[in-house]
Amino acid sequence: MSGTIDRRKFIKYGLVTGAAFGVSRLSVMGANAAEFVGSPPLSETFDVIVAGTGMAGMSAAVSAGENGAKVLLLDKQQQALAGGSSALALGGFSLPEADTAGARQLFVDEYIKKSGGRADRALIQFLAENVTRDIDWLTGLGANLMEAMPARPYRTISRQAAPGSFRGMPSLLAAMHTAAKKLGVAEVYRAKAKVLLVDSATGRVVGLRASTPSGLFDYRAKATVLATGGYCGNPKMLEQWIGPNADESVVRGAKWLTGDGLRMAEEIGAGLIQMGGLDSIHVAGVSPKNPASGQPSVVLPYVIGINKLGQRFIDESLGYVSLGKAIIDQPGAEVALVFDQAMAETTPGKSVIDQYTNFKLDIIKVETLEELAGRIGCPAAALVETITKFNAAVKGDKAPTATPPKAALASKVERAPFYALYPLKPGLTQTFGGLRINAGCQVLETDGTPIRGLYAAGEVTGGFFSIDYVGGGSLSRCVVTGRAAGKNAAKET
Amino acid sequence: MATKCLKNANASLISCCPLRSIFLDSLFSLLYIRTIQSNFLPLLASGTVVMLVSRRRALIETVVLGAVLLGACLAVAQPQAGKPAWLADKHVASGLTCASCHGDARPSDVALDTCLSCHVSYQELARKTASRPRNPHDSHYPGLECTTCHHGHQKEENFCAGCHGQD
Repeated sequence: MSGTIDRRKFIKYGLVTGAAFGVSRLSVMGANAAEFVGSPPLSETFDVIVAGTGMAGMSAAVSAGENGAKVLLLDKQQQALAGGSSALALGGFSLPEADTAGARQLFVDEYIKKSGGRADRALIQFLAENVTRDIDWLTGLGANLMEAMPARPYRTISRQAAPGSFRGMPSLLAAMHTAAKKLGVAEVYRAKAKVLLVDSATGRVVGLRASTPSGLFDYRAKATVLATGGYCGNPKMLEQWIGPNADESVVRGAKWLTGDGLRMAEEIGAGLIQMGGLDSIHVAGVSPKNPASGQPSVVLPYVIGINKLGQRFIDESLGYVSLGKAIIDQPGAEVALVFDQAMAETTPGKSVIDQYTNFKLDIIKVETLEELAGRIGCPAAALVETITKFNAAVKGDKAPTATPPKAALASKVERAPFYALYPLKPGLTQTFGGLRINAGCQVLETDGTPIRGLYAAGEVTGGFFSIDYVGGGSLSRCVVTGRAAGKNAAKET
Repeated sequence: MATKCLKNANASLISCCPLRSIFLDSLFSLLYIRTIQSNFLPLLASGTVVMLVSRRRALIETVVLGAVLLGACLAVAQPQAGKPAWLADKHVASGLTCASCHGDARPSDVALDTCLSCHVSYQELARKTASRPRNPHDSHYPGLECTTCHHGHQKEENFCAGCHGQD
C-alpha cells in the first residue's frame, strides 16, 4: 500500500509512542502545569523527604529519623538562613496549664473561642492531646525551654525557648539539627521544591522536583512532608487572598516564604481552607526597624494603646494580634504603647525594656505626659484627657466604662516617669489559612480524601487559627504536627 | 618656525605646522583621557579632521576648535570603560583571575571559604565594619554566604536592609 499509511503499523506505533510518553516521566496531574522537557537527574530513594527547616520541618525530620526512616531534609535557602520564620520567632510554646484532661479541655476551649469558632475541633483536640508530651520530647532532644509562665488572660501556660524574647529559637533549632545529624538525616540546601512527583499508576506522591544551583533534581521518597511555611513573602498571594493592599505591610518573618508548598500541593488537588481576608493572617504592631523582634507582646495586654489623636482604640487585653490589626485603621497606621513607672517595674514591663534594649530599639522615657504626647505625635491635651478618664474607669483589673472598655489586665497610668514604645506599625507575621490536613497530618483533597504519600506540618497547614490566636500556639502547632507527620511518614512503605 | 607659521594666515596645518598638530593632538589626548578614558581612535579621528579642515588663523582656530572638541567630548562622555564596574572587576584589577574565585567551574557560586581564604574571617570583617549602627558581619545570621550581599557580577545589595530598612 504505497502512499498510504498502514493502519496496523499506525496503531501499533501510535500506542507504543503514547505509552512510552506516558511512562517516560512521572508527571504532575495539574491542568496548568508547565511542560518539563527531558528528565532531571534522579536521587536515591529516601523513606521520607521533608521540605523546610523551620520548627515543623525539624520536628518532622527528627521524628521520622527516630522512627527508623532514611530522611532527606531540604531548604530552598542557604544553610545560614535555615529555620524560616521560626528562627526569628519570640520562641513561646503554648501549653495546657497541666497534664490533665481538665486543663486540656480549657486549652481547647480557649483556642476554639479565639478563632471565632472556626478552628477545626479535631485538630485542636489533637494539638491539646500531644503538645505537653511533645514539648517534653523537645527538651529531651536538647532544647532549652524556660519554666512555664501563665499566659494571661488565657487559661493556658507558655514556655519560651531560652533565654526568651526572640533570642532562643536559633539555639533550639541548632539542637534539632544536632539531633537530626545523629540520626543520619541528610540535609540539602538551596534546593527549592518546584513540583511534587506523582506516580501515574498509583496516584501517590513519590517525591519532589527541586531547583538547585546546578539545575533541576528529582528527589524520590516513599513519603513527603511539606513544612514550607506560609505566604507572607508572596505579594501576589497576599493581594489575592488577604486584600488588595495586604502586600504593603512589612513582613516580619522570613521573606522567602512564598507559599511554595501550598502551590505545589494545590496543583495536585489538595484542599486549601480558611484562606480569605484579614481573618486569615496574623498581624502584629512592630517597630519598623526590627519587624521581627521589635514586637512588644510581652507587655502589650497590660498597657494602653494610643493613636495619633491621643486616644485609645481597642481593648488591649484582647492581645497583640487584635491590636496589630486595629493599627491598620488608625490615623497614619501607626500607634504607641504607653505605660508608667509602676508597669516598668513589673515582670512584663522589665521584660519588654530588656527586650528593646537588647535589640537596640528606642524606648521613650519622659517625666510628663505632655512631653510624651510630643514624642508620640499626638495632641497633649487629648492624651492627658484619655489617660485621666481611663485611670478613673479602672476598677480592680478591669475598666468597663473606659472608651473602649478594657475587660482585663487594666492598670492605671499615673506614676512618672512615663514610657512609650513608638512607632508601632502593622507587620505580617504568618498566614493562618493553608492546606487541609487531618489529625494524622495527611494532606487532604477538598472533599477530604487523603493524598497518599503527602503530609504537611506547620504554617503551611490550615484549620488551626483564624482571626487571632493564643500566643505560642503556632510553635506548638509546628512541633505537634511536625512530630506526627514525621512519624506517620516513616510508617509508609 | 612656530612664529613664522602663526603669521602665515593661509597656511594649512599639515603643510605648515607639525608643531601645531602635535600640540592639538596632545591637548585633545589629555582632555579625552581625563574625561572619557576611552580608546584612542575617536581621538585620532577628531584630531585629523581638525588638521585637515583648518586653513585660517592658526591660533584662533586652535583655541576655538579645542573648545568645540572639548565640549563634544564632555557631551558624549561614556561610562568609563576600563574602570572596574562590579566586584569581580575590582578583584581582577587587583591581579586576580576568574579561576581565583571560581576554580575550574564557570559560572559557579563562590563559597564563603573561598572569600575567607583571603579575607580572613567574619570576626576580622566585623571589626572593620564595627562602626556601623548594625554590623553586617555580626548579625543574627552568622555564616551568611558573602555573595548574599557581595554579588560578583552585578550590583551589590544590602541584605539586612530587606527587613531592617537602610539604617
